[in-house]
Amino acid sequence: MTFRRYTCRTVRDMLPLHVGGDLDPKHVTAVDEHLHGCLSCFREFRELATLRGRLGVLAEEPLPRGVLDGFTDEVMARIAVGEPGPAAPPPGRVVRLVTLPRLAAAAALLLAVSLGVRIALEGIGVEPIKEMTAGQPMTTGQPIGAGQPIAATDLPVVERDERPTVGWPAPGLRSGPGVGSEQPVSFGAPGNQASSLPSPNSGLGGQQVGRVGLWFGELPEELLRQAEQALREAHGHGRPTSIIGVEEFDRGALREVQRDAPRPRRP
Amino acid sequence: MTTPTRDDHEVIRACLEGQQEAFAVLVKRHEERAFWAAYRVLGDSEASRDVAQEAFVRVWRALDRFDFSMAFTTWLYRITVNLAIDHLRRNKRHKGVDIDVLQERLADDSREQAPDHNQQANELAEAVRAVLSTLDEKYRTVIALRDLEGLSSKQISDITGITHATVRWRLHVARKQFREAWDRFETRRAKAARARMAERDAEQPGETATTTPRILED
Repeated sequence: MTFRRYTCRTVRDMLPLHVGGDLDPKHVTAVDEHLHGCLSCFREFRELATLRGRLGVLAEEPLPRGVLDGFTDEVMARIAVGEPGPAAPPPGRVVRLVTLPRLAAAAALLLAVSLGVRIALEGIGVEPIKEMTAGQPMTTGQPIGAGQPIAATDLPVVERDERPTVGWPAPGLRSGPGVGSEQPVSFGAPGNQASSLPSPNSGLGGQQVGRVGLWFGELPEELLRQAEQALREAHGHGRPTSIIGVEEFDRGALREVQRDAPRPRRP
Repeated sequence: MTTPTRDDHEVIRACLEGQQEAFAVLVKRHEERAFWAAYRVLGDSEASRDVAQEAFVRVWRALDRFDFSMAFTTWLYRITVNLAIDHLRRNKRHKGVDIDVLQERLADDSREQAPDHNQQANELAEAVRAVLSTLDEKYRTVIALRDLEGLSSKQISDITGITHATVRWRLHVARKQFREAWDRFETRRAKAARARMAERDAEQPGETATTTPRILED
């Protein structure tokens, strides 16, 4: 049988793998053959083998004294104090980075609601609403998709051209088609657009802002507190809500806020 | 007659059925392995213990996603090694044992009486660890798993999630780099020893004739 003859350079390049038995079997015989006939390559091989033997010193090291004392007990204690395990209910949904538009919408929602910021609409051509002109009773609306996570894309949208310049055409939020959906979406029941969210005539003051049909206005302290509490409960961990946490916002929590909102006065 | 021991998969199934205490069996059985896997990468026993513990906690959390077609140890290795690498990345400044400090210490020791076998072994281990810590983490990981833990390149591929060919390539580079680093270490060590010897000869010119040959022999 004849073997392909390798040059010293080729063989030396293969030696680091050969010394650990990791060389491709198809090269092993040829390299061994070369080592038998080439003293300098053999010396190189021997040196690498010695070096690998030095690594073996670490492999034979005894376990540092006491390093694993109480190891199992500590792990089990950590598990016992509440690490969610296979038998436990699945942990809260991992908060993933949301896309920029969704994050922006979420940030706007949180900031506006929690700070009660009044946003001037003159710059975008929308007149602030001072009084309600039409007066249908406000009722607790059917929350959309209760129990489902709410995403920024689910937020109601008001078409700019349908929006009145002054006043509010109907109680609650008037919504246009939802993003990516053919069905109208609103915080209230579809159809009558009734909503229990504080309306502009609720005495709290409020405005509809931009294309996204959100109600921005000054919320009373109590409502804010309830909203925060509901958000915390929705997270299930008692952690404060972060902006990214909007991803985890539960419609159930929103319903709680809606239900507890002050009722508007009938005209 | 020995009590039959449940294999890892049986223990995992018991855990999944709600027997939390069964997990202690798994931890006890593999704690040393997890510790060594972390230690090979980190070279620090305290950090390795922490990483090994964290690995078991992660295992517990993800036990319901365990793939029964693979060995538990492969999974444990994967989690531990990844955590150890993460730890290394977070603590970039930590480079294990500093080679210069180590050389100083070894040179100081050489002035004193001949060390016993254990001390020599400890020094060699420390030197090897110091040289190993100069390697990039990806090379250090494969060389540690292959040459210290004795895993096959196929197993390393499963653990690290890189292809078999990449494992072999990294192994090749790692051994070459280790050799170069060791040569540099030896050269600097010899140079430092010569400098110290010259310094000592200058301080005690009368003893030159007696000290020089002994040190050169070392």
